[in-house]
Amino acid sequence: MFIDMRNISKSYDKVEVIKDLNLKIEDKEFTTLLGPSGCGKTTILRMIAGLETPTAGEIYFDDKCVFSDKEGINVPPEKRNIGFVFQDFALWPHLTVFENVAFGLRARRDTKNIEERVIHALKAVRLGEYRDRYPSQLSGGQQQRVGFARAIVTRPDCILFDEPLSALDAILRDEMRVEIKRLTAELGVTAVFVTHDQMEAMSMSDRIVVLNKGAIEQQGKPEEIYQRPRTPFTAKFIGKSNWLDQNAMFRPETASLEKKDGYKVYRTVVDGVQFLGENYQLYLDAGGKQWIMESPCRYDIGSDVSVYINEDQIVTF
Amino acid sequence: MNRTTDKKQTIVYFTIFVILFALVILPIIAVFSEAVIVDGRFDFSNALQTIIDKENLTTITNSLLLGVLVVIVSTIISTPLALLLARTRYARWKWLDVVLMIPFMTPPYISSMGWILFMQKRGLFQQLFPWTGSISESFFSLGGLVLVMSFHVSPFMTTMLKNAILNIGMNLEESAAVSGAGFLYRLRRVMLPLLTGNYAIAMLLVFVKTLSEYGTPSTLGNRIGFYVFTTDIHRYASTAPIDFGKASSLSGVLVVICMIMWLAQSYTTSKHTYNLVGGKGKKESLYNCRRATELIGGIYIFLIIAVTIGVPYFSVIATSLIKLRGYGLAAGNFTFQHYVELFTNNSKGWEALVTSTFLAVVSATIASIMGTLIVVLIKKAGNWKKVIEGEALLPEMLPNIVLVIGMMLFWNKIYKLLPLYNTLGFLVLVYVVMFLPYSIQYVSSAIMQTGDSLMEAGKVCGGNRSYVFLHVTLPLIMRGVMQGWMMIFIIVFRELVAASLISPPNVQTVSTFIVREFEQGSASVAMAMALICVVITTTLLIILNNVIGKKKY
Ligand SMILES: Nc1ncnc2c1ncn2[C@@H]1O[C@H](COP(=O)(O)OP(=O)(O)OP(=O)(O)O)[C@@H](O)[C@H]1O
Ligand SMILES: [Mg+2]
Repeated sequence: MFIDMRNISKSYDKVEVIKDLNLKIEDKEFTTLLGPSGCGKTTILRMIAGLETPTAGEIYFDDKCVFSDKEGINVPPEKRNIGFVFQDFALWPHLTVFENVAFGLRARRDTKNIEERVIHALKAVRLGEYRDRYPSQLSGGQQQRVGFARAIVTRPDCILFDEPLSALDAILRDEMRVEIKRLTAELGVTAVFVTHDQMEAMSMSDRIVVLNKGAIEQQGKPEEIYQRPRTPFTAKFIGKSNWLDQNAMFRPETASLEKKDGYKVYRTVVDGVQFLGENYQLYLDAGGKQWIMESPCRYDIGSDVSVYINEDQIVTF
Repeated sequence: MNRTTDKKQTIVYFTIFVILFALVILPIIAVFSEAVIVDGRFDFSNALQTIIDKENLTTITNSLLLGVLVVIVSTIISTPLALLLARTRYARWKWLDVVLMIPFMTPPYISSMGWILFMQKRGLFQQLFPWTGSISESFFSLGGLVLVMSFHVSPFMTTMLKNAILNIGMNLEESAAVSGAGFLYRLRRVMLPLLTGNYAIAMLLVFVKTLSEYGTPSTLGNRIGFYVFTTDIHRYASTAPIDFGKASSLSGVLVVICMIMWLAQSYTTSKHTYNLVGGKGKKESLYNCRRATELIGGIYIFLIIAVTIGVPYFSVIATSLIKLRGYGLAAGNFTFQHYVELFTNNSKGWEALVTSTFLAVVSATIASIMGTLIVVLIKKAGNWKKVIEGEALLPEMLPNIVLVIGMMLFWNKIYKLLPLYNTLGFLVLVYVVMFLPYSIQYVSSAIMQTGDSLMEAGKVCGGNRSYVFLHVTLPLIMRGVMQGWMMIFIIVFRELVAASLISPPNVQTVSTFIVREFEQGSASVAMAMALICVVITTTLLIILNNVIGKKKY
């Protein structure tokens, strides 16, 4: 299922947080909405789910209009047939794992083979044995997996994730990333994933939509966004960027500390050094601008360093 | 559909607003208009005359004097208690918190009767200590009244102050101590300044409670000829010559005073309380006291319990068991006969118990359903929510007697339209309005603890409004609903003001039964009923704390 948002605006008490947004989410793709805190990611997701009503615009699921301001259409969330994974899990504490997952089927009076289908969903997230536990008896990662099983059990056309990993610790987060990616691919559903973590976005997405202040800055494949940012905002927000001036930057790994033919040399002074384990991160003063470079060996603070830059890799705006 | 849902919502909000307006606001308007409208014209002079009438001026000054004295005495009683319960080893004795609340949970008219029976001529005190002569009779004075009322409200004040002290956290005091401040210096420079706001709030609330209280003034106050707002309003509204104009004028003054106090209270809350959260989880923090200090503290707590609980309950129990009062506390003069009488003698007592149970169950149920529906329906209502909550919570700020007078006036006026006045149904209605705020507060706090996302998850999983309400919202807030229900049940079960003013003819409730028997000289029967009433409500309270109070998830 593709999702098409046309000219969507949303205001809270006269403050416009989404401005005339046009966003198309492709069928069966894993799309990530990425942006700083408060840029409106959650709002967009909730409008897709029907939990929030846009102030103006239209939303289509395939050819079916689920919201239209002009025509007065607003399909309620329970009729949109989507899955939603909440940031705070939102598991019902008074229901067992099994009943949490079965909820959507029971609510739709779709109880044929309910046992089998719920168990199947639980097995998919590797929680088959936990069916009779209450959410409070599960770890954070397990809770999130229940939330995920709950979202897929009704076979939705699309699953929405609102920062589902932010409540988990770093190791669990890595594990869940892989798992979410695997499951959505297996199910062949359209997935919309919200995060403000660029690593998460890069590693999981087919497409990234970078948002800033309620508007789209850029969208495209992760590589495209990283290598060819179209605005300074995207360049700064994603990855590390070293700036030559206001409108020109390069990624640290495209430059070198060793002399290379055809590269342009810049003289810098070491400002600070951090040991990262596999290598050192240097903070360089390049004529008033701060650059970051990685280096296999330590430099003394105050020492001079030459940076060689491949001019083809410089991105200008 | 977008706009039609909006419109539907607005209709729902408006309906709730109108219903509450009719139930709460119109009665208040009725009070004021009764006071200033004479023969269809505005006539402030009448109201003014009532107010400056010498007798009524005495009433007003009496009330204010009583309020001030009770505030002072209960502050004196509560301050050491709060410190002891927050900062000494007694803080570990959790049961003390419960026991010390008993005087507050005991209906004031019952403890007043206990005190009267204890202190009166040939009362229990004189029987126990015959050598004291007639000393105990000096209790029947303003001083005695102030003491009894202070005993009743001080647990409330103690709890507020104790929580405020606990909130301060030991770290602030410890840092002062490390900076070289001794105990008294810390008390003066750290604790008291941080507590000023809490003191002010507690004092204002105690003042309002005292002014609104009817039970003690009507039993002990009337006996010593000390009349206050509530007793005078009650008299004007119930004994010939009935004069609703006067009752309303006094009610008006009382409302204005109470509202000013509430405003002052909320102003103080916003301005003078400190936000003291922060730092790591609070550890238990006790003073290192000398043994002697601890001992003195222990004796103080024991004395408070002995006097505020021991005396009235001893009186109630002893009186209910005494065969012939002339013989007093003597072996062989004890009997359970009064308890038997309650249920056999023309079964008046039994009927009263049934009536009160009926009233309590029905009012608590209706109020709980209304409260739950209102809270759930207006959850997302923005400005409507503020307005509707304001309406619904107003009865809690009004003295009960004023609300009752207002509803009497209003429902009398529309009797032709809705002949509810003078029926048991009207009493139910009054209780529902009076205690709706309890239900709303319990349910609101329950709903606040369940995040929105649980309901939203229900919706995206395919549940419609009613399905989500029944399977998600309701189970999650059920504890709050039940707590509110029990609280309302307990209070309605023994409520006195409304019962005595608007019970239909020949219908008695537990409270009016007790008062009637007491006044007619059957103190033993009255006290037997009082004890049954206290036992029933206490049992419920224990159930409330143990069964429902336990968090399952
Ligand atoms: N119910 C609301 N009422 C008023 N303003 C709101 C409401 N919900 C969100 N906003 C505002 O809308 C803007 C976008 O909020 P949103 O929650 O969509 O941000 P976000 O991108 O999800 O941020 P985060 O990464 O912190 O979750 C914010 O400025 C926020 O203050
Ligand atoms: Mg968000």
